[in-house]
Amino acid sequence: MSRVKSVILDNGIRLFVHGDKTMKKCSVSFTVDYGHKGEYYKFNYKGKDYEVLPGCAHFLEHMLLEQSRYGNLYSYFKELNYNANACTSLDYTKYYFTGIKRIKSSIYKLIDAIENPIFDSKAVRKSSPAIEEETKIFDNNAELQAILLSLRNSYSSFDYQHEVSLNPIGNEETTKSLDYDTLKLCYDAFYSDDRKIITIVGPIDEDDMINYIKNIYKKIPNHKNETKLKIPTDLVSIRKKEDVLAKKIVESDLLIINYKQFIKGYSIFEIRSFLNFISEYKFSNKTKFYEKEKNEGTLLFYYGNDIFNIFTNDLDDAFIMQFGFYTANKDKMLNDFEKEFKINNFEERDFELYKKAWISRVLIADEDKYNFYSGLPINIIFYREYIDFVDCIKKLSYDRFIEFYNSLKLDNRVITLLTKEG
Amino acid sequence: MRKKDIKRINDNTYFYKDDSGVSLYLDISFIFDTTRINDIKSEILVRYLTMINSVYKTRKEIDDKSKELYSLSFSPGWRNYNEKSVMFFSCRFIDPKAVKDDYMKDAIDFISNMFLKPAFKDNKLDKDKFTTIKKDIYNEYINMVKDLGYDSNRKYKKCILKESVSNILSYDTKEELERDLNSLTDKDIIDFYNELLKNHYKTFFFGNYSKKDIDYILKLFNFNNEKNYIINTKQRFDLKKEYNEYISKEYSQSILTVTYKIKDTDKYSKDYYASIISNIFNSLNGILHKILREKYGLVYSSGAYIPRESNVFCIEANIDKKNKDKTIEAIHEVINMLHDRKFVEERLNYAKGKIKESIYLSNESPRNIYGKAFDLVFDSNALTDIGRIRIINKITTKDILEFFDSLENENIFFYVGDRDE
Repeated sequence: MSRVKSVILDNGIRLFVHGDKTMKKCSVSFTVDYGHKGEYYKFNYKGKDYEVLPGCAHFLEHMLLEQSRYGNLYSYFKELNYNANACTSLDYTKYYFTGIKRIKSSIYKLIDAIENPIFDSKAVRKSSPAIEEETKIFDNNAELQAILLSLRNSYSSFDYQHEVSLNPIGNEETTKSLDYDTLKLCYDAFYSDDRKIITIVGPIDEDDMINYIKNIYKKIPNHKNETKLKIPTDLVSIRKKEDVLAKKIVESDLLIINYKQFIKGYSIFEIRSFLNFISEYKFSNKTKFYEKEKNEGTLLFYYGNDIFNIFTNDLDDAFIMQFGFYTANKDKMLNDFEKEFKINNFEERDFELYKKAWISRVLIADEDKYNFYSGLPINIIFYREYIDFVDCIKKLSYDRFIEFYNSLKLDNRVITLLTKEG
Repeated sequence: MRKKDIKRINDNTYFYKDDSGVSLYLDISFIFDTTRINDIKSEILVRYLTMINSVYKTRKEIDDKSKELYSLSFSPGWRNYNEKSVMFFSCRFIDPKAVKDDYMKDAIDFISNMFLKPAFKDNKLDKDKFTTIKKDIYNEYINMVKDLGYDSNRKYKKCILKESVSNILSYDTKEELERDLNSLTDKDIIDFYNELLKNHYKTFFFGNYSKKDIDYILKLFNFNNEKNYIINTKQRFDLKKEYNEYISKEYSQSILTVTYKIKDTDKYSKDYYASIISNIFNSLNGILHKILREKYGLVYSSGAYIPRESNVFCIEANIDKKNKDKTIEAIHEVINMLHDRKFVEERLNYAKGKIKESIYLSNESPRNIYGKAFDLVFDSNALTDIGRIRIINKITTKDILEFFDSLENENIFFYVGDRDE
């Protein structure tokens, strides 16, 4: 994909722009490296320790644009026929719009709404019912709750997921209890300039847009980072090796297995790519393992990974491989799974095919330029820098993969069983 | 894009040349009669064809070959259109120029193996795979009806709408589905496949194909084109006025659906009316959001829609069960707002502007252009961009006022989430 011009503003905000006169729309995103993962619940701000309930990042996402000095900014964007929305995930909050007209003034309003919040207690109370309803959507997703419980149990000295709720955006009670003071505190602590990424792509003049953004920020006071996250000193210890989550809506048992790893010397991109290759090669629905297990009542539901991706960048070497299986016989399945995992039957040809297929998928996905650029800030947060996917895929090495695979261990394990309520 | 950009190669074969992206699409289609049992047969057939054929015996072999051919995708599927259904064998290749590899002959041969050389040895399907597929369909049904949205949607369609399209979700119980699955033999599937190939509908190429590749595909997939099908895409539902409630002890959230019969069906069942209505009601600027969420705080999400080419107007809201009556009142308030001429005129103008702009902007994406061209080839009711804009321009405030004035037969369906917390 074409180059992107990147600039770091005087206040530390990272700005990425790309001008393409063949594009009809302009796509703008404002991303903050602040989500609802456990690292954000306990923190030190301006020398004082704080602990907050889950849901703050998400609630703030609603407040900043729905209760701005321009009213509900989404309504304003919709009047201009924009596609506009926001989302909060474990790692980030993203505000974005795509449109044709009045782009500069809309960028100004977006930045102003985020940088100069005006919401108050009344606005918080008014927005709470809709957010409480939103939390209920998660209540019916038992599988996701099991995955998050499993991640919570993987760390004893760190609340990956808050103990009061397996819902990252909180539940009805926690949402009701979030007040203006808490939200303002989280805003002050986490909306610092060094956590922000702005991307603007479309039929623009790059230098003109960079200057425009710089001028906007000349009038906005710097937002310094005065927050220290509570870094866990111990990533090795496990909170609970085995756990059970019982839910009425479950039909069959689901087993979530986490394996904690500590391996140095590999980039985040390599770790993710190698883990995906292992999962796809050994356990996807095209494999003999999958077919055999399915006949015995086991079905792969999920595979993923989680890299300990906190702000201080110190602990990249820690990551989790995660697998989820629907199964009628968890002990047998676990035994079969680990036996299969330990068999080193990876051929270089298969690794090269994996790369080839991935490159094709990237080329096809990038047909939609807006799709590519909308993923840019998220990739920067995950990978710590702007990366060219095709280039990185081409550089993946089979020999390094084998070395990585041979370093993986299965002894640091956490199991969660999701089952129907008895 | 314009209709005249779709070239006719022969009676039932069409080509839209587009070099803005890297994808090449191929859709080959066939007709069969719509029945529930045919739906199951289709489902079994499409899965079987993607798992095994007479050349590639395992999924892994198929997957490896597809990777070798730059993630070539082969995705059969089907759509119900009232009495007739259409089976699509859809493929996506990557442009050889994008990967600097003249691999298309290999890719086309692979596709030909996928669906012209099925594994029907001695007139039998592979026993294990046939059993596995039936089990999978059954298990997926179980999982699908666990989903709150699916389950509510399925139940309200059954209660409120006299007919709905037949598909696997129309089964009321897993026992019914199991019975139908178990009743199907190898012969049923093979006969279905053989019959299907006699009823070629249309073939469509989209992308930067070379003439050489098109000629090769047509040579391999040389179907009988004697019959000329015209598919009726209009759907009719008959409403009876009633109230239905279904209580679920598994879910905590409830779904309220309010439906109305559209009186002047011929006029208002077109999908451009559906777009206008959707724009007035939906999204963060729509009146549902303003009233149900911003004014009364009753919902997180709600939406209004007209199922394609049908005579039903639906409003749906995810709510807490205690807010049922207040939400119904709020919905009535919303409908009443649409008897105000000035308000409707303002919303109509806004909706028209938004739709026309979306049409203009959608042509940036090769995938969207493909979608539009696909509709024009396979759906006789589909419109070009210009056709759609012309018709939208003609819609007046009076038309919209009359639409809302004429709604009748209000039905309320309430899927109650009653889980003990």
